[in-house]
Amino acid sequence: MIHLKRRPLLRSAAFTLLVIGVAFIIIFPLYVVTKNAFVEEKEIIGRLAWPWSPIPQTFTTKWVYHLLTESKLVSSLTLTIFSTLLSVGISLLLATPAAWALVRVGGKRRTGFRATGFIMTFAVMSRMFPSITVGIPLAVTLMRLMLHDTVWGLAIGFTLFSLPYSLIVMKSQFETIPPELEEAAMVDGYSRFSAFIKVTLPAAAPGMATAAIFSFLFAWGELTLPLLITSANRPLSVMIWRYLRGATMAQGSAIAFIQLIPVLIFTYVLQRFLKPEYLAGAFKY
Amino acid sequence: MADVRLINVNKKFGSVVANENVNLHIKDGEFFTLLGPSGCGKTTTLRIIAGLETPDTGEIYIRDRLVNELPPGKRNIAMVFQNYALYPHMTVFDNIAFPLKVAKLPKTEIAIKVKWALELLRIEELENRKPRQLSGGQQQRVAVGRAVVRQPDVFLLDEPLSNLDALLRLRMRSELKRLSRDIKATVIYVTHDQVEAMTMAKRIAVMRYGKIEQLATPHGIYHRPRTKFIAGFIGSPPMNFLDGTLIEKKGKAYIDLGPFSTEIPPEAAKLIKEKATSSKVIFGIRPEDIIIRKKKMPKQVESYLCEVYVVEPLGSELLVNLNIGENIVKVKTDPSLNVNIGEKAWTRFRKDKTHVFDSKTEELIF
Repeated sequence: MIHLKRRPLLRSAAFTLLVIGVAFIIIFPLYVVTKNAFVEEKEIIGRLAWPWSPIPQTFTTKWVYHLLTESKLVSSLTLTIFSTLLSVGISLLLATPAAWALVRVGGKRRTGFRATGFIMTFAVMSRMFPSITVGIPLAVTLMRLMLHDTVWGLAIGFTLFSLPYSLIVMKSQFETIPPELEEAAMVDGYSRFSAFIKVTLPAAAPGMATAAIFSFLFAWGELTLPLLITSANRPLSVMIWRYLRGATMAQGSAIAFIQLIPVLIFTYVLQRFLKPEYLAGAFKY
Repeated sequence: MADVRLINVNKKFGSVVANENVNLHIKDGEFFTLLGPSGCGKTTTLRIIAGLETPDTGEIYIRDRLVNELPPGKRNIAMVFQNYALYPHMTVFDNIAFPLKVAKLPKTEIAIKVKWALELLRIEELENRKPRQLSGGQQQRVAVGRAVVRQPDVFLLDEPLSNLDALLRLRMRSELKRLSRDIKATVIYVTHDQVEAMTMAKRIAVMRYGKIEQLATPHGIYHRPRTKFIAGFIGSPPMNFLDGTLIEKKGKAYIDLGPFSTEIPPEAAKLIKEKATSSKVIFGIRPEDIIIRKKKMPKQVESYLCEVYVVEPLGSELLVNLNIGENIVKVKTDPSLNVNIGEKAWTRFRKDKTHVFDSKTEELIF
């Protein structure tokens, strides 16, 4: 049971102000981009730009419409969505059982696998190199595997970077779930595998959601890696980068808006698993 | 219901011995307690019976069936964990229904059985709540409900009361005992709390260093503790111990305790001479087996004058701490006795309640 202490009025007011301030810093740029995607050019840099007003004075869908009817951009958006989701899936599919094994298998019941520390060091170490140093050999390898410039190639590339993150997140998640939960399910008649699927995984939902959001955001916004491992089929990040060199502010805002929407949807869907009290009440220490 | 047998069970974790030659026969319908300090291997024994640990050597039988190779789910046992291990994403109803769902019982039957368990534990109104919306006591009931609902052969309880507050623990203790009788269950109960063991169990196995040190009824453990460790572990306050030496004078045998000697029967002296490693012994007596008076006792009774170190009133009784040599001896007596710190009082031992332990092996001699 979580009992919130009643805060004194002044402190609670200060806290509310702080939350509003932080939310403003996050939301304001998003709002400006969204606004600029739907107004005439003159409101951004022309004669209507100053004094700046938070309320749009003009309205047009032509920038977004123009982008969404351009077939190159649509295919790039599709490629980005598929490769990103694919890498999120692969990363979770590999990291979840691996993290479980690192925490539970072998050695002592609560400290897990003997080589856990060693393996985790490796996982963290892989993040010490920038994507450009990994990207070039990866591009060569993907070419040999005939996966260069494909959705699978991109997914593998993204997974390379999101997997260590997911592994670290999932490992800490499993460490918070007492082994008794699986054992109770095993005593109740499940095999170890079904106990894992039906009982441990739902309990690990917050960690999985966190890992998924991490992987998604990385893959969605990564520029260097796709630049190296694709040539004709470019994901959205590369398209924006190229597009912005010749585009107007309004066009840039429109493409940023299009890129923003899937991120918001994905994060919104997963955020309901991120409740801190998700596991509360199951155990007594 | 069924009986459980363990034959020569050994289990090591690395170099740590958790179970050494554990032999047990827990009878059908018995309330059996494994008692011991933390790290004594009692939980390991329970987990071996459950199938959550594999013994290095040894055999486990449940209802005459060798279960060594059976996974926990196939042993028809139920377990209540110390931390309850409720399924956090399920309601109370679904938590209790879980083992029945796994066994693929028809829905109507599951509903009837879960309702029975909810009523038995008086938590009907909680069926739609999630574990996080329950108090500690309620969570505990749900954990017990999940165990009783499948009507298993054996109940395994691992310190089920240790996370409750003192009052609730007292209530659940009597409720669990009654419950186990009502459903005529074979119960194996692990605890480090000697009061729980004494009050609930039909038989107790006291464990230490992975071995069973004594297996007896609560009465037997209390009145004939096999070792000094058990004598000091059971009872509150525990038994008093005084270092002594066997001496003989004019054909009578005494134990010299320093300030005074106490006479022991000749057969006790004979046993000490036969069994003890030396004439040095440990003399033990429980606080309630010392009689204390302010007035001098009759001449024919062996009594000793002692100084009162401190007095602790407990309401229903009085705990008098006496200085005997360099030791403090606790005496449980009637609260009407009016003694104060520093005063002298006359004491005598109940002669049939004295214990003598070997000073080296610490085993009971007499």
